[in-house]
Amino acid sequence: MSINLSTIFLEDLMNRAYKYLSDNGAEDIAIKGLRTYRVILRFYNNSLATVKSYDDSVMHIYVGANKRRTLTAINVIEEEKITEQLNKVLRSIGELPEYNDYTPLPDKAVDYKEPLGIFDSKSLDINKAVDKLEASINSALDNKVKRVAGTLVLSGVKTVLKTSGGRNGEFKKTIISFNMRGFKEKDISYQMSAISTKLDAIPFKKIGEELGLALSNLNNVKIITPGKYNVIISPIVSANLLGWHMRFASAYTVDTGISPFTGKLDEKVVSDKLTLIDDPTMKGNPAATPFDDEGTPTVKTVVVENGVLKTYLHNTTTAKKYNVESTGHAGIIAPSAHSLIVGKGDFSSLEELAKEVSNGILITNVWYTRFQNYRLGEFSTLQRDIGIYIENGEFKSGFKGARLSDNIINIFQRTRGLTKKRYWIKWWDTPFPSYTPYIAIENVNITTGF
Amino acid sequence: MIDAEDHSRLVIDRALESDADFVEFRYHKRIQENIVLRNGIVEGVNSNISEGVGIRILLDGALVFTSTNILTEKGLTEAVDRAIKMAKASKKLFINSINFSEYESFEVEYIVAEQNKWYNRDLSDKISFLKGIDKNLVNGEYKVKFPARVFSLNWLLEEKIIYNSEGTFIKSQIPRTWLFYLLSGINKGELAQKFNTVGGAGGLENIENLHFEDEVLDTAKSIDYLLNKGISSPTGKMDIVVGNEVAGIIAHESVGHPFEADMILGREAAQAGESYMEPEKIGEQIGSSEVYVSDDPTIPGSGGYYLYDDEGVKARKRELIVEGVINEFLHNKETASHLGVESNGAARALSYDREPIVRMANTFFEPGDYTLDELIEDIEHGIYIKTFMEWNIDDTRLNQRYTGLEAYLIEKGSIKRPVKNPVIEISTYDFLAKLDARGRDLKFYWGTCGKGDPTQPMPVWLGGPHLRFRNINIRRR
Repeated sequence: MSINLSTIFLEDLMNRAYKYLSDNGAEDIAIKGLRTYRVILRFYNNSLATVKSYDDSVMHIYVGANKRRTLTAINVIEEEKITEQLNKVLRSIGELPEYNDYTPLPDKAVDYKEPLGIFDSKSLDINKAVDKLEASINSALDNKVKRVAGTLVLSGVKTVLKTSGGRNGEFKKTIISFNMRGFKEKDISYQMSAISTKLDAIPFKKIGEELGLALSNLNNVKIITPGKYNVIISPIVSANLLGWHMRFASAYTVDTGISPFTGKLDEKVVSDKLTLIDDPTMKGNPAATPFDDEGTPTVKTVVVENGVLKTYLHNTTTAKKYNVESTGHAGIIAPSAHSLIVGKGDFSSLEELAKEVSNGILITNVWYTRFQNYRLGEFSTLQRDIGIYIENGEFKSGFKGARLSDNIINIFQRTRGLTKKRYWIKWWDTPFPSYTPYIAIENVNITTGF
Repeated sequence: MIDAEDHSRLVIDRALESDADFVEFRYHKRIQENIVLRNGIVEGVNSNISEGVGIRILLDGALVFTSTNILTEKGLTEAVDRAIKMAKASKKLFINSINFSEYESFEVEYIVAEQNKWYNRDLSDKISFLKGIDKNLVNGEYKVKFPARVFSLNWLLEEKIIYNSEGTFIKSQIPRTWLFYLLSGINKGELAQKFNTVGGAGGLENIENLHFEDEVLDTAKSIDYLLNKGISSPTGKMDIVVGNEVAGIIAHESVGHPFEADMILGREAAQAGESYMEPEKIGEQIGSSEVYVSDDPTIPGSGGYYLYDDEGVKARKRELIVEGVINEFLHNKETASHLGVESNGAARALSYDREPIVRMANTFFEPGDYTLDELIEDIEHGIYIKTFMEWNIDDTRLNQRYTGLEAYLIEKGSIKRPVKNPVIEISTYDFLAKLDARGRDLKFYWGTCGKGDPTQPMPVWLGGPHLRFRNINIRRR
């Protein structure tokens, strides 16, 4: 069965909703329709736990009038219910106070460049996906991994946008994400993550082999001794931690007063070795989109260039407030990043980076990043999966129990180096698709509860 | 309202005719509204409606879930056919067959009433309520300024109709109303931040009954006091007393999650993690004889309230730890079957497009007999950690950390000056062994618990009385 993601029905609902709002006093209208087809294969103990499949449509609607604004999401299909919900929205408009920073939606039609090669209906084939997953699990087990757990997600999404500014567009894409966590013993585990727009682009068998390789020499794990360490973080960890930098770069977060980047434009915030980019126009980016929720065309945005904070992420409302142009990151209320791309480093391999660090630790995965204070960037995050000691530039024995407890901005001021090679990452505890390298950071405070 | 009975019959019959061994139909509607006030400015209103049907089938040991928002004969038929196709295509990878435990089927309807209905009160009234709190913060007699103030007043009405091929029929309607707030205080360049949520099942009566405004203003007062009078936290081994909010997070993170049977069995291994707990440990001592932790979805007005779970199993209080002994885990029908017990009704699904999985409802340390004064009176040198901000725990739920926000020095049995950022960083076994007394003042807080893939942020309560722990190693940030 070929999945073509037809939105004829959804677009009809969008047109009717648009007309109803327009006829009833709405001045600014943006409707984003999404048709999502998704299959999730979830497995543990080397066996499927469940297969989930969705085929859903939803309209995300922004309405502005008389300098007031409201949002609604509607997935019902009966006209009477849709009208009832739209009336609620229109009534709210009448009761809201004026929003001082109200900004009309951008106007003048745009001819969007649809990203090429990001929709592949064959990637949504359940039979093919089952075979690929089976090969990956078997490959891990053949390489002496005792048990594996993870998720393979096949998503096909069609996005249709219609705005009162005449910004109408549509595009389709597939997103395939795969995570597999392998266990040698209860305390000896390792996780691999990959994301692409094509099922065939994910090296399922190799992921199983690499899991086996990563775990092969690890037998005993010790509890880490608290202290300051030179740390190499894996691409998964880079995506988790630097994902927070992109969240803090949202002009909404800055404006709220809870970002460490408040007042830091054009200042050096992290090491000059770090460049942080969002580029939804980049070939192969699973977060590719030609427009944001207001219909602003997306572009490459360099947020941090050689350590210097160059811009916040803007929609038209925050852009007007900061007297700049929108960067194409609406969220109509709060702008947010589409993706994170970390500029490539100088080190040819992880092994070379380890030689540079000489003595320290490798953190392969983290989770549960939390803050004592967002504005200050005081955070901690927990090691998940195996950590490995680095001695005289070589990877040695494993450890567990590490908590990185430091300042999320300051630690990246102490960046020692990055690998050239980067990996597309997206898993349960990273905020968006990220293209990240291994990064060496000096003098990170490590604690433990053990 | 859809004709759920006809639709369910269509779905169940079609799936059974296609070789399904078990079929479950869940109509699930969510109507939501929230109003955000940010730094004194009304951001707008967000008002959402979603409805659809989630279908689960068991076919020859394969468990498949599908959902659709196209509530027509065609939409539902396609969803069933997709489920059957998925089950047959993936069957070979269900190496371990999925089974459900036996349970009693019910035909029940229940409704939680909103005494003060969300839509009976004008939007302008709700905005005035938020603005009133904000005004009290800006104009209050604080030495601290609060440059970042975010409030979100939220309402959610859930309607569910569950049918299955074994005769279950559960229809429910539960409203919930809650307030999220974030405050960041600054004094002489020094900052402190706190966010929290208060609320529960019910309507706008929660504003008064659960003291939404007092909760925010008490937090503001504590930040003011902390930033003006706070001293560096002592470190080293000492006795501590923790407040209701801290007791709640410990109950949730260190006991509730690791007692979820799907975590124990490894089903969340690649997402929310596994557990230090093992099935054969039932009956073993895990903490001092003062440790009593329960989870109870049937508490009226609670954030995690329900009477029948999303598999139709009758809910009841679950006594997880009794007198320090591991008593029972949280189960849905799948995990119960795996471990040879009956489900205790812990299956919850966020919305029509999510599968029901094992979740907490309202998790808490049971209260004891002590007053706060009695808990503190024999502590020579220690600290009282009333609230927390930063927290985390490893993915087997052993290596945890709670960093205090409102915290005080205890000297010679009395509460003294506030202390800044005391850190409890300890293993679960050590922590539970050191609990030696419980207050009598059970109090709950709203939490949004994350688990599942796609994630299912679920409303829960977490709570407890004041708790006293002996000889805890305290660090500071």
